[in-house]
Amino acid sequence: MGVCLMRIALFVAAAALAAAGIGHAQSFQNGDFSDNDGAGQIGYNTSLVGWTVAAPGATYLYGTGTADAGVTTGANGPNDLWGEGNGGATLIPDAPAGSGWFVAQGAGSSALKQTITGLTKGATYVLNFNYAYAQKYGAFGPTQLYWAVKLGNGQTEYTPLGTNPSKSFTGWFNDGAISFKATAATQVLSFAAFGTNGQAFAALDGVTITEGQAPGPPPTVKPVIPMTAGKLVNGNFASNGGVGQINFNTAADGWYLSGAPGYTFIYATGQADICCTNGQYGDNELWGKNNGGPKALSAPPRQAAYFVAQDGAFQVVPISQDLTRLTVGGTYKVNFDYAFAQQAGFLGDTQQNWCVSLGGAAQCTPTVTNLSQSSTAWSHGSFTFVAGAAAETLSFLASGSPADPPFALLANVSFNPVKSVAGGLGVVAAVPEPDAWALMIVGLGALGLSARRRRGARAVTV
Amino acid sequence: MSDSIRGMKAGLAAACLVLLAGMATAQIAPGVPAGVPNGRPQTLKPHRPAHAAPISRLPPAFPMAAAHAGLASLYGGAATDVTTYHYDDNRTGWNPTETDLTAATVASGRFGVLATLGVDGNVFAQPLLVSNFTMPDGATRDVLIIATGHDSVYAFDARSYAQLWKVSLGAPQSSNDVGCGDVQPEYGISSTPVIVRGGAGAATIYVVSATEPSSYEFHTHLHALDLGTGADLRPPTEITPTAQLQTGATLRFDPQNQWSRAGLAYRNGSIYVSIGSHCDNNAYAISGWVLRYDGESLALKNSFHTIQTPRGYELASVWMTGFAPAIDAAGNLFVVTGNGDYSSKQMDYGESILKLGPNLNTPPLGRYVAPNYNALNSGDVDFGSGGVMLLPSLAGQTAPPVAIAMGKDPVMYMVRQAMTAAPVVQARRISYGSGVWGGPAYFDGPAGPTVFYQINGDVLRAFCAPAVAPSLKLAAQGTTGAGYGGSQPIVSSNGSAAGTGVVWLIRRSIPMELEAYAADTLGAPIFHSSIGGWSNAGDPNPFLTPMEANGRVYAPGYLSVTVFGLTP
Repeated sequence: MGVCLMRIALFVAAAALAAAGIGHAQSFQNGDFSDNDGAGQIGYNTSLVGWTVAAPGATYLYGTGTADAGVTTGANGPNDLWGEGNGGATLIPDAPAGSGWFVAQGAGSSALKQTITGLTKGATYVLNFNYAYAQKYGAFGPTQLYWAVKLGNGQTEYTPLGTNPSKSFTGWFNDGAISFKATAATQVLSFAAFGTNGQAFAALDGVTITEGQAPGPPPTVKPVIPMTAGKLVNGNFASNGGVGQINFNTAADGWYLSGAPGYTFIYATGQADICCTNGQYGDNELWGKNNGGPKALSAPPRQAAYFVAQDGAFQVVPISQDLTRLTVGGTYKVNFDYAFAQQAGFLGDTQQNWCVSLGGAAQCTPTVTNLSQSSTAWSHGSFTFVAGAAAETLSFLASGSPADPPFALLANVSFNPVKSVAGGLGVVAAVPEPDAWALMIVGLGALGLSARRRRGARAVTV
Repeated sequence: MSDSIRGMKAGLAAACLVLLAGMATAQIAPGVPAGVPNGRPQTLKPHRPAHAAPISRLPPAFPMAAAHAGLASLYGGAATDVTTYHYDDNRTGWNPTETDLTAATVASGRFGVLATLGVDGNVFAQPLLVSNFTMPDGATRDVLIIATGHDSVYAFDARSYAQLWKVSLGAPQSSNDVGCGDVQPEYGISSTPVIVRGGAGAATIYVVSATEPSSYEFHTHLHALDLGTGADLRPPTEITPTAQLQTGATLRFDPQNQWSRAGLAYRNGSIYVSIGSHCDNNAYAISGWVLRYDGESLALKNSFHTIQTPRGYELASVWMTGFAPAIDAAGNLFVVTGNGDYSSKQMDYGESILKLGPNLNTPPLGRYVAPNYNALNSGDVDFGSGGVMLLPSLAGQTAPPVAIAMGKDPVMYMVRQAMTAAPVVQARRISYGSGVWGGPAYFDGPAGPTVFYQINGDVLRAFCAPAVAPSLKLAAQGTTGAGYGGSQPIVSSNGSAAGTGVVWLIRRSIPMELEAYAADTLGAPIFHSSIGGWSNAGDPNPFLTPMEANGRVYAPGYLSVTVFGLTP
């Protein structure tokens, strides 16, 4: 989407000073985010004077010029945005307010809030800010985003829906001012980002509030992100950055690893036992006929051109995709193909399985033995989940032992509703309360432990 | 499976690809590991397992058989002076006047140890050289100045290596009494002096000594020594700055817990002394300082302290592992601070690049805090373990001048020297391991401007830095892994001529080694040789900078400076 389109005239500028006397001194502060504890995840390892988020959200503070330099970390490790410094498609332009800092929030995360005191009840205030749209490093594909802005219990206002190309950072926008009427002396200002998925980040800088009246009517049209309810993307992993190690030198559109660096690879069918699918330690082949293994590494079903392989015993973090607009209480089925293999160059039988989770619920495939230097045939997995929230994370976590590297293979993932509660299929659920994401992320963090504990006595539903 | 096993499987051949891929993606491995107080060695997990094996060849135990002939041979080029740390006020570490030592001659087998100069302590200071100096007896000599941790200053004839004089500036401070074992057994002169040459036979050596004349009586003095004799030209000045803080409390220099580690600097009659801390001790009551002394009177003219609002963790030391403040054409100083409070609203300047006016009588003209300063402080990952280098402006350069800095967190920061509110031109992470205790070197070679860095455990890397639009891109790399904290390379060359550039560094191995690389290509070292062990035998932190001038290379060490050069 071009800049011109982004600059729609909903927020035409030029705040005028209030003619009706001098209001109270309102307390709004740190609108340029310069008063902080350093780059990081707000509410986790940094804070902003005056601002809060419901921890642990996905709202980060970045230093201008460093959002692609691996200096911004959070609970899941580095949280860079795509930029020229990490192979992104665009340069990240300097944040316009000039403080050297900006905030970016993953879509669907907890709102960034500030309680403002000293407002004059009934007075009108003009809110101004700069914003941009970005994408978390490692995620692929175009995204659409907007900011939802709210003061107190008043009406929510929105920035125009913007499209951010894959691996990009849009320019900074300032569409002028938004007018709010204070309904009380103390009110909460909140910014909440919404978008295609949790890897779509909306950036914010230079927030100011002045008493006055912005000309023109306030924008009230809520943007609609065109997406199919609960749609999983790139289930065949064909949209990727090439073969290699996810989070290191490649990525799979829509998918991400819940932690860095992980040890999960994308292989091209027929190439896994041939050089060179490179990762952090160089070529990472799986045993097959082409590298001296006793049997061929079979191709995944359905002519899948790519598959994912995750080491079940080394740097293990799940490969995940955030799904939004699920029907709460609705039933969904996850279908996938899987097999097990071993990294070439190593010996010994291994026991392996996959655990699949949606939100806080996990189900696992049977544990099978993969013989030394070998691989299993592909199997089909099918798990049924009930969505506990409108936005959930679908994750696949491999387990394997001993650590003679056991690689679990995954292909052809699909995610579809089986039935729904009232409202039926295709009804878009209400946009989740941002704070719901906090619970989800906590749940995801606990998932790894949960999955591992279930290895001995898991619920098998295949 | 361990990283090392996996690395062995991947094989050495993959290392280069991995490193290059890492540069491209800037995402390698998780978080910055916890560091340690200033320079204190730590046990590091191998974060990059596929290094080339350490060099195993033992160096010649004795000077080359033809060393005397080498010593006697005259330098073919125009003699140069090295009067300040890293050769110039930009701190480039580049001597562009070398004519005899080229990549070919250094690799020829004729290059080796010519002499070993015995001294009485650790030599943290980079050796300095004044050429064609008229001594008091009328003789013209190239005078090599070496300062030691035993508080001695030596002058050697750089042609014959005869000792010209030696002076003691007092009894050094016991490391045990200081309470910091980073350097053992003592602290004396730890910063590179600066020499101001007034004429053919007039030059003053400014040097800071740390002394302990009696047990637990600590002093720090600034001396002005006559280069011809070593005598104090005027009574030394005791370094005792104080400042009133916003709370009304008085901030005082602490001669036990603070030291002058960053090299001294000189500009327009002023001597600049920077102050750091020992082991971050007494962190609640001290701060970093940059002090300006009058070069004539040695009187303290102004001081800048890095913390103004004590909140229990001050520090913000200025130590830079020996780098001296860089100085731009207008006389503004650039320094980097270490662990310490940072506040955007108050005058607390931890983990920052600071631009200070020449007089030090105003708040910083600019500052840039590492954006992850809180994490750096929490993990003892000082930004200020590395110095800042001003990238020389070149003819036709249209981009604004920039500075480059990196500390324990291996992120190269290129910032505009104007130090606007958001000065970052480029920030590039090299790895997620530990960074550098030291700093960069620069070479405007046949491939254009090039910056060299070597971080902890990593190979030497060359980054091209096009002047029109400065942006560091990996151009070449060496094959030998660094020791703890990387290295402090320098470069010699005959201008920008191809094949003449040589990168020199001291590898922090046991024993320490002088290494040389062809600056145009890097790759495997073209020369390496032992320069002996360090005094902290089991806990080495020889953060040393070699010096090259007039066809010879001086490698400081413990109780010696090893001289390398060509034999006929």
